[in-house]
Amino acid sequence: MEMLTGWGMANRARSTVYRPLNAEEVAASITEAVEKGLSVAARGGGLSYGDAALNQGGAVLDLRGLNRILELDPHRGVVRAEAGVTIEALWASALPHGWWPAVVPGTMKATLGGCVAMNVHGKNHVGAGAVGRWVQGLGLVTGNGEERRLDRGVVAEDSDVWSLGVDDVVGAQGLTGTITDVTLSLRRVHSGFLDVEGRPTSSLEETFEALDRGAREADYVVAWIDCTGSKPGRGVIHSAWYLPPDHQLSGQAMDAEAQRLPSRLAGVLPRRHAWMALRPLTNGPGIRTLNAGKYVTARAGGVRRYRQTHAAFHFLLDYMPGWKRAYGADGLLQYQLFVPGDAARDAFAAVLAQQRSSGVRSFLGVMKRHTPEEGAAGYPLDGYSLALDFAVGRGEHYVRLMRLLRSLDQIGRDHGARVYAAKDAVSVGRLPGRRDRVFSSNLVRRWERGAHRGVPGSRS
Amino acid sequence: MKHVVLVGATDGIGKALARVYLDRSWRVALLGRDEGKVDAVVGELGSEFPSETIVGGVLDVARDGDVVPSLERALAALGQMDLLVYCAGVMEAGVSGTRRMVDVNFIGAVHVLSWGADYFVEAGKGRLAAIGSVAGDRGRKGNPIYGATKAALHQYLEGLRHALHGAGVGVSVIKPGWVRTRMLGDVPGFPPSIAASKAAEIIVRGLDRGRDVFYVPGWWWVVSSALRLMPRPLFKRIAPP
Ligand SMILES: Cc1cc2nc3c(=O)[nH]c(=O)nc-3n(C[C@H](O)[C@H](O)[C@H](O)COP(=O)(O)OP(=O)(O)OC[C@H]3O[C@@H](n4cnc5c(N)ncnc54)[C@H](O)[C@@H]3O)c2cc1C
Ligand SMILES: NC(=O)c1ccc[n+]([C@@H]2O[C@H](COP(=O)([O-])OP(=O)(O)OC[C@H]3O[C@@H](n4cnc5c(N)ncnc54)[C@H](OP(=O)(O)O)[C@@H]3O)[C@@H](O)[C@H]2O)c1
Repeated sequence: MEMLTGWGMANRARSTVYRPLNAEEVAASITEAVEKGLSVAARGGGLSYGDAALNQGGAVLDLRGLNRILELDPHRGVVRAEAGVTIEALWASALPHGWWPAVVPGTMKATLGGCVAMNVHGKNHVGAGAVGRWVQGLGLVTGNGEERRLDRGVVAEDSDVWSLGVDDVVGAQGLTGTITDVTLSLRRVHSGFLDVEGRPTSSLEETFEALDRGAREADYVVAWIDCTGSKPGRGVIHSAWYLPPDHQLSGQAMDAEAQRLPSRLAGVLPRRHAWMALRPLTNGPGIRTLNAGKYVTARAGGVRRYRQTHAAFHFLLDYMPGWKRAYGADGLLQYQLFVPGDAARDAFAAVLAQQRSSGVRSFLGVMKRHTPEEGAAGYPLDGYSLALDFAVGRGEHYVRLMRLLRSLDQIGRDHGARVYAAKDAVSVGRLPGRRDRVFSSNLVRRWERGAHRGVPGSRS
Repeated sequence: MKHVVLVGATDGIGKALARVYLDRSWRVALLGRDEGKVDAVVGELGSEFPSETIVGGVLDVARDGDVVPSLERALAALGQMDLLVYCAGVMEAGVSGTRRMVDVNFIGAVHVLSWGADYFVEAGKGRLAAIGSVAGDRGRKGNPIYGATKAALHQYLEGLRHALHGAGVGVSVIKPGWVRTRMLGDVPGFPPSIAASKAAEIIVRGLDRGRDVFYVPGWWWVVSSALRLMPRPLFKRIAPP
């Protein structure tokens, strides 16, 4: 038995951990766990914030040992890689050939299997879809220990109701089987750099409009918003564009070394210790100062245009290892709600107002634009997401936080919000319709209990 | 999210603790020896706090072999554990109740808390707690056997605290005075006694603050210290109950 934690450090579970190195060992591990009467959860990088990759009292398959890139077609931009390959390893081997993963989450430590199982999105959800759209096929081990190959466009011969398609696996949280390898289409890029623009907005309404514009006109767009100031919802919109083939920076920074950030942020603070500088800022006045400061800097500078490498634009947080420790020993959680387009303005205004009056401060607010997806993930819809990070804390802080989150759940329910399993630790979302009972997780049991109580979207 | 496992919590102080923790949005696992009573209490608290999480489990702490499997089942349902409070206790009159009291007040506590210690050491954090009693601070004429089981529990917890200190795991001894539960009997007006709900609030506050040893309510510390410091000849003459 081994103790594993969720990425936010507020969730943990003790499990029998298997570390298979290939598909056969995955099958053997599942079979052995089932014989012992254990439920099975897959785990990639363990970067889900809450309890999705945890399985108290059951088995966990740590898939990081399946880490080989099996095939990379440099002409067609198609890669076949094992499920434990990280996004980092993937882009590092694809970029020199002029390819980049079309969809990447905000951390490159996530694995391919974990990304497909959650159907992750990037800052280009509307333009590029979620990762599942780029999956051509995959290898899967089902609950009975059987190895299967699933391919897009190939209809299974048996019209048997239990035949699985790629979209029964995409976003299914590993509940239809454990992914052992993924065949993924990549996106052509001509430079290791992106054109980036930072533009301040002065109200929530403006932030919404800027996100819509960005989703139409830019290749990537994301909004950082001020949750604390006198005008909650004002913020900074970051948009980014790929460089055209004839650009002077074409062919530049096309390898991993050139993509990496310098090891000292701002040249002074060693990255490893940077989180300590954040710590005093995670209390109330500190957060306000930081948020206002960030906003004022952006405002004063007006529109800022600059170049960033792909890695710096997408994975900034990865370059500050340990930043989450600024949230203290009790860890952090991210509350992210996905709300349909027509309801989002009301919902987010209510969320920010509630948050401001609760006495619990969010350190970071991030908004994105989204679109519906095939597959089993319960979160994608035509609308927007708002993500707020909170220190879990203890004592009265914890109690106030939980009261706040319960009222945010209510706002969510009133506005048709969806929950994203990759972030969730406190709400109840939709589980995939099809699943094999061999597979489970702490999150799955928690959501089942919530659904059973007849309060979808409630806290648990 | 905070998760508490309450053992022997179908009545009295334990049940009151469950209520306070649910009110504070902790997720609660409540274990008791009688399945019917567990179901009834979980049902009652569940409808009182519809948006909170409470899971039940059957455990008779006097049955050594049942302890670990039953706790593991409850933990799988709850998900995790940040705090474990041992609330089970019995007070019986006369020598015939000795085995029972030793089993529930002491041996059961050792089995439950050892399991909890193991989990928390791996987690590198967490807190173990048990309800002792002012009756365990000094030998008293009222029920010397009950007092002895509580004294044993105190001593065990102190040793455990020292053993776990380096592992980041806290150990709390809760020492109530008189609390109006079934155990105290039908003395509703008994002057210095407090309601179980009040005791539970004081206990939650003490545990939140990570206190090693605390009295419920706090003024019992004064009484107990006076009794502990009292010279033996005087103690004999006064002989508090
Ligand atoms: C800093 C940060 C930023 C993030 N930004 C984003 C973002 O922008 N967009 C976004 O969508 N997400 C984002 N996330 C969430 C993250 O991308 C997802 O949680 C992703 O699933 C993590 O991948 P992983 O390999 O760590 O999977 P894990 O967290 O280990 O597992 C995730 C889920 O997938 C299942 N699983 C894992 N591997 C397999 C497999 N091989 N077969 C079957 N099931 C499997 C697990 O059982 C679990 O249910 C972010 C997370 C962090 C920490
Ligand atoms: N009341 C006081 O004045 C006072 C003072 C000091 C210390 N204490 C201590 O406080 C603790 C709680 O007592 P209380 O006042 O709340 O008394 P209570 O109302 O009698 O509750 C005792 C609890 O222990 C449970 N229990 C007994 N034997 C058990 C077993 N074998 N397995 C599992 N659970 C068992 C009981 O279960 P059932 O519900 O099934 O009976 C009940 O839930 C005890 O340790 C007691 O010694 C009480």
